[in-house]
Amino acid sequence: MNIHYEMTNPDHNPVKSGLPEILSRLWRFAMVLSHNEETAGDLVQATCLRALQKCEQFQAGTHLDRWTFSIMASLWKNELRAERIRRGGGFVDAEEVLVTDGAEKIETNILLAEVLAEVQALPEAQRSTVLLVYVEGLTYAEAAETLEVPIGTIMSRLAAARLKLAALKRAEDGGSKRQVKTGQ
Amino acid sequence: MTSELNDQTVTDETLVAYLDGELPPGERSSVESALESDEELRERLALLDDGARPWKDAFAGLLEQAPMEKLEADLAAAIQQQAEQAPTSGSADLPPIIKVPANDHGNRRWWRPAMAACVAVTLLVGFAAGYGTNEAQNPEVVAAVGTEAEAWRQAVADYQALYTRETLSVALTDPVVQSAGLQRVSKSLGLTLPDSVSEVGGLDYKRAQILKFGSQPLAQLAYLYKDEVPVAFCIVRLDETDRAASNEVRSGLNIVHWSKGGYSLMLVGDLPVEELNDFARELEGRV
Repeated sequence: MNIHYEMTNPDHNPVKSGLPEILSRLWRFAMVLSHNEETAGDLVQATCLRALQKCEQFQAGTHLDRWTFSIMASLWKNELRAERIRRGGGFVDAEEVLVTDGAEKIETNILLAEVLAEVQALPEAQRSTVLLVYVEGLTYAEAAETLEVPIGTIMSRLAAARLKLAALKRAEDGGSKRQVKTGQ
Repeated sequence: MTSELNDQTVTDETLVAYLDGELPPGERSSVESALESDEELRERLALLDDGARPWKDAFAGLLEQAPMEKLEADLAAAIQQQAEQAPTSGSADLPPIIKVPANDHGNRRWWRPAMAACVAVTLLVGFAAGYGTNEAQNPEVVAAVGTEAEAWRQAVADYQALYTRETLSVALTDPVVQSAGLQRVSKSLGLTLPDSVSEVGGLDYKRAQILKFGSQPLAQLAYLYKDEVPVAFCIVRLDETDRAASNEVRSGLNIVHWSKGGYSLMLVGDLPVEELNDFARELEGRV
């Protein structure tokens, strides 16, 4: 396990050179976590800064995206989320932002926008797990490492998310008009 | 091992892992044989399968919404800041993520007209007066607007006079947001503002934003005094010669202003000048 980094030549800093490519995915994860565009932007920037500060710890050849997701999840969990919850009412409500945005901008596919809305209406722990496993394609083990939880937790979050989404689908198939609600 | 796997041990979690291809081969075939003999389990599996979605396609849409220009600019700022802050030491101590407030789109539009007006006044008065000297101002009710620095302070005071407690009530005060904000402002200004500028005893820090004076970026840090009175700490690069702090009154607000290293700084608010000066002394030591 060789750790390659060169502080003397910034061009050889794989963190610095790799970040631009994953910015949009970082932002997407930040949106899933925060539900707020402005907060997401700041979370991405804070994550980039922290990643640059810790770049010596990054092992060249490993996945920069996962490593950076992990930094973001940790920043969110430890620094930002509590503050947001404490602030409470000051924030745009979880269901609104993305749902509206998504629906507007993906007019071409209402169904996909609905998927986005359904996922965004899940509790935070579930939707971040869903994003990492089902969207980003991480294995359970990788997602567990990224979110710093046991694999069993990843599994139970996914099961809970699927049950919730299945209930939505069946309610819809049952004919009644669907209402997306948060699980908790 | 396989034999232990009966209905009771096949949990929803296991079924989901089965659907996700996350089960090791042995466990996978156990689940399959359990499914063969158990209708209820098959129904459970079908239910969980209904919880699947076209995840990647749906979230690809979100990817397209990413504000790339801003994200890239922020990254460039972070790289620059990191280059400045972290020399070659491999220190394990991370510099704190500086506190920075969210920018305030609502107020910005007020600034530009006020600025333009002040610059116009500067030019007129400045030409007429041939630009005064840089002597310290006497505190007087109507302070002069003769020099660029005076025009700047007048502009800030005019702007500040429009602030109310409510103006600042919407500022996001969580550390990461504030951190990112202060960094942006530091970057724009070309002057590092340590997070200690947000920790002045007696002033409740709200946010930082970048405005503009002429072509110069102008940093505005907003605070609330006694949960009531808006106070602003503003910095702009006007290349004044260094000047000790002095007081004046503009737009009915108390001001303490000084300059250092080419930067002009001022603290302004509707509060007693003694307290204002105390706060200014603290800030002066931190910037």
